[in-house]
Amino acid sequence: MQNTPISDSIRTQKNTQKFQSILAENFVWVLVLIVSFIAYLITPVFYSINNLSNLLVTSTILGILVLGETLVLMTGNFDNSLEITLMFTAMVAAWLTVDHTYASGLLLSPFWGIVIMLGVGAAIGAVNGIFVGYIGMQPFITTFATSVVVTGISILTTGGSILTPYPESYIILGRAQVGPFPLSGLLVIGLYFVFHIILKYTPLGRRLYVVGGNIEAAKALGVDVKKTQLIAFVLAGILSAIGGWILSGRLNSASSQMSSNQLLLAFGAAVIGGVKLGGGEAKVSGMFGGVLLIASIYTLMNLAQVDVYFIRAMTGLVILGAMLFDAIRSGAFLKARN
Amino acid sequence: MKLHMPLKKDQLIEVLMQNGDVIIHLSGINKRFGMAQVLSDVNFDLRQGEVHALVGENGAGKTTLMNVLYGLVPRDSGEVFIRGNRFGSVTTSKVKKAGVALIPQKLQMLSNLSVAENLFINLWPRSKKTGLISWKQMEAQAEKLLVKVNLSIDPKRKMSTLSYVDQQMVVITRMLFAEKADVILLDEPTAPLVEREINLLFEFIESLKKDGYSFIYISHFLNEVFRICDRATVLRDGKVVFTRDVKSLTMSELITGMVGEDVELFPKRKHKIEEPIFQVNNLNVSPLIKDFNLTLCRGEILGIAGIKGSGRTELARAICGLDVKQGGEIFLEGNLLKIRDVEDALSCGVGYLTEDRVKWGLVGVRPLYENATLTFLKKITSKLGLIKQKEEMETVRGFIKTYDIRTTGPKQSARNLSGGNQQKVILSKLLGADLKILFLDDPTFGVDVKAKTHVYRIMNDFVESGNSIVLISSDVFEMVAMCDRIHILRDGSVGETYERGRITEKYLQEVLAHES
Amino acid sequence: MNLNKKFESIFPVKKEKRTRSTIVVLLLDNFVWLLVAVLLIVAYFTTPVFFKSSNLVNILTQSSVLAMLVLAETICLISGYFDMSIESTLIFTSVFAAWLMAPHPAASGLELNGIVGIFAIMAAGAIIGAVNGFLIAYMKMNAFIATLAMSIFLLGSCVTISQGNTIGPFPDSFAFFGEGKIGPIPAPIVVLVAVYIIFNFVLKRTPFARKLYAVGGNPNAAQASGVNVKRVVFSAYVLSGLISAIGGLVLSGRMGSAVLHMTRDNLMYAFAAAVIGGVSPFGGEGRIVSVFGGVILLMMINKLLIIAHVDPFLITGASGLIIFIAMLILTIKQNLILED
Repeated sequence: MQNTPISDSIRTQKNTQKFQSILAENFVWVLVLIVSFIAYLITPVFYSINNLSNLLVTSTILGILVLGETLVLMTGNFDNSLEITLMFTAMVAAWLTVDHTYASGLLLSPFWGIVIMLGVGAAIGAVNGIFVGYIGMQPFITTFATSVVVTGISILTTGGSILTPYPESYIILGRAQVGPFPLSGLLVIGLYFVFHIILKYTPLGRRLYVVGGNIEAAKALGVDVKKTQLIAFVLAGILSAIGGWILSGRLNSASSQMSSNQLLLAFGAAVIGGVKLGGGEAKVSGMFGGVLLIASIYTLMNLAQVDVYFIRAMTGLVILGAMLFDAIRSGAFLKARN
Repeated sequence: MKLHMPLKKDQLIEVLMQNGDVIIHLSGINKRFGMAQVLSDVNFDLRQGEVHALVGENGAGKTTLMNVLYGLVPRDSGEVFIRGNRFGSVTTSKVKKAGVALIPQKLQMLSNLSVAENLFINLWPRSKKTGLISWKQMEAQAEKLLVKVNLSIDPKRKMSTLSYVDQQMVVITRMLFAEKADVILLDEPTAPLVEREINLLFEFIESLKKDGYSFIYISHFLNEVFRICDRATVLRDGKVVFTRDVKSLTMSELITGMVGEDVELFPKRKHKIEEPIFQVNNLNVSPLIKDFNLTLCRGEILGIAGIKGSGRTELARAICGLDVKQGGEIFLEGNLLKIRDVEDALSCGVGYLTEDRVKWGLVGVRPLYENATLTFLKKITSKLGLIKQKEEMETVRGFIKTYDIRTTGPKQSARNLSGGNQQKVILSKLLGADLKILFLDDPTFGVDVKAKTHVYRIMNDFVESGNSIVLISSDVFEMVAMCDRIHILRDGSVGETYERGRITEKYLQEVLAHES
Repeated sequence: MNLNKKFESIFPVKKEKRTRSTIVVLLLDNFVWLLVAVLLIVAYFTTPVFFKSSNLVNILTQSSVLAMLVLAETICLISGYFDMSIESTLIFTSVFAAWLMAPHPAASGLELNGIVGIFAIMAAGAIIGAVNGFLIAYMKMNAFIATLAMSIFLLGSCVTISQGNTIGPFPDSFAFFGEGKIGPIPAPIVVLVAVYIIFNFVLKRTPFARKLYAVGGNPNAAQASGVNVKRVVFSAYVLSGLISAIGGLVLSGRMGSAVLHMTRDNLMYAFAAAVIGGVSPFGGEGRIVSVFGGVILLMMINKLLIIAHVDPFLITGASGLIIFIAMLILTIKQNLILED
């Protein structure tokens, strides 16, 4: 049956089209280059080892939040509770291991504290995932409600006090250095690498893309969409718990005031890095670029001694900018123009 | 194959199935939705290696039958056999496992992923060494598959960069080889295609047929039945009219089967057509409508005939402000109309009854009276800016009486009304807005016979009062009975035009069938 | 999705005549007031101190700010969208007003009088709402994120403007709204009742309200009926900002100076009150009277729990749960309808 081949389309895309799409997909690095250049102009101190190390420290928590949020965003959902989970799991660890009036008095070994802490992170993620994936609740409201409930519980059990100090071995992750670089930063970089592998080379990772890209098609093609969404939330929860471990180690304490309001920034970084808000597209390298970009901007502004509060206000603008970018990119702008 | 009479039909089928000839056998299928009997005692079977057409008008039951087979809708009674196995409860996953796959018009694919990945979603090939997904293997296997079915497509490309027909063929390939189906159900596959693409698709299907795969082919395009199908089953009003070999069938017989000798109740009207009142010039609506022209006279009902997907809905939506047009001018009574949105259109006196009642018709959670007045709030608003409640209720009660809307009262939630009554509310909403030109898109789809007559009567009243209607419909009886003229939509603009009395239902169906 | 239900809506269905007695219908529609009544009875038996008139007046006064937030969110919800920035707008307008009017070293030095200040606050609220509305209705941004980002921007700006200082005091004409009395009734209550009455009327009798409900219930059908959907959504956000600003007015008056510290609870409370008051989070439904009931109910619960010495933070978690459960029930109901 050797007929002439059937096809309507040109076999491969033109090279210019390919180049354009590569550029668009990696736009964040263009931005990073621009910011790096500006940084060099404003204050070359930016490039000192000291500062770069600082940069890494700043990016660590943001980086973990971005990674977790990306996983959830990829499946077409949104997780409001990551930062609260971070705080809460740190408190759980403290509650179990610290010698304090408001702690449990159990004084478990740090090993168990960490294991349970990760478990709690997973559990919170599971609750989110069940309500969103299996019952079909709106992700925003659900994760918002989860975060509020968890906050309530944490304040209730500790009355807002600060639990400190942690056992020695616990704070290693938060504080140790490898050469000039923080261990936690290297861990996060490692996690990025691991997830890059997962997203590209494992069925689970691919399923995240599929569910986010077209959930109806995913169902028709045999993918368990509910389970996939659940897993995304659970992984995000565990990553938040790791983040909690890092931060509480760094501060050597845990309290309900721990969160640094970075979640929205994380979201912005993810979007600039290439995540589509509807799901289905994400590049780990893009996330990495996004984190680097936001952290660089933040560090730069600090170095240039910009008013701290001004930075906060700018944060909101950055997010709006990121969203505008995403809206334009996905053509919503063109539709709106109608 | 002649067998002796003493053998009962089911036994006969079993024998055939055991011989490997009949793959799918449906017998005595009944399905009722509310008051409507959508399928009555339907028998259908599919033989191996055949392309079997399932043909019928809109609402005849084709899609429902396929949904019953595919487990999307439960049947009320009847038997389903696949390869000799009886399926008591039919679920999609069971049916898929049995080797049957449905390719709906809205393709189930991931457009942001590559062709190769789409072929292997959920079945990604793993590297033996690491256990991780091997993209190399995936692309190589994809290449092999594509070569096997003679498709010249680069597996590394994103699905979104392919044309629709290529996407279709890739999806079919996945079903056949990755999911190991050997029966494909095609639902209106050629509706969005041009001639060149249809040829490609048919070549594809022919070569697969030779390899032993079987197809059920649902289509409006009757000429395609003769091009590629071996047998054809005609459904009308939920019943099987006949199942015959295409070779021994003529187009005329096919159409008669589809259209029947029905007697619809169309109220008479005085046909008084006066001067031209409404004009559309050079209308362009991407992607389907190009240089469309229309002239409408006072007192006239003009029909626009075309299959769903020919752009007939798009042109109405654009003229009436629901969608943006890329070019064209609209004149009413000599004045150029500036229509940017529905509000503009309504204030000019041009209204549109939408196609999808559920999506575009009514606000279900709100009460009937709020829905019925939404288009003409200005009329019932006082100078102070408040709604005149008494007047509003009177107006709505008037609607209920005039159009015989069955409801517990104006305050009933719109979603609790039956389909026909919902349609009447939508009509009242439009008619209350003092329109001169009314575009109706499939106004009696899914409406019971009694309500249909009502709708026709409303249409007659409207044009007898000196207004005009453009009727877009798939129902050839409706078109022939109600319209003064019928434009045939071809390639995005008007092809032929037929005057009242110069065209029969059969002929109209035939004309539509040669549409491609 | 089970196609059965999808087809049901197209094909005619014979619905049995619903013979629900009107009493049952009335009860269900006004469920929140039933709860209020129950709560009052419980209070009577457990904490009679609750019924001191000063206590009741206190509750109403304290609810006035929250009530504004609830109303603002309700308007937005009816149109089918969410406004996460109502609380920040509240705080921002208060700070902004202080900046304009107060004789404080950190203020603008303009020291505008009270009346101008009132207009300035309203204008600020409306502008914030307009920006939100523009981004969401015309630029098609995700409502959650846009309003959240706006709220961060506003809070940051607050701190920047005030530099951490508590700017005050307000001129008397301005502070009247928070501290004054009209006859025996505290001004905040008057404002609260007046605004609610006005909006109740607006939502029942104006064409705009009809369009609002239609857009929330089915934006496609609204569009096909000639409603300018984008403009309606935009207006909803402008109103939301405006009403939040009125809340800012009352808050400023009560506090005497610009207040920065408010937790995120208020947003939760506002949602909870709206949802309990019968506003559907999916849009298209909601009545002001019931919403008012929701506010009363929530404040009563709050007060009762405080009197009973229950930890306030527990209440926060509880309100989150309330909304969640309400949405859960609605979602399950929707899914059940779809699956028959």
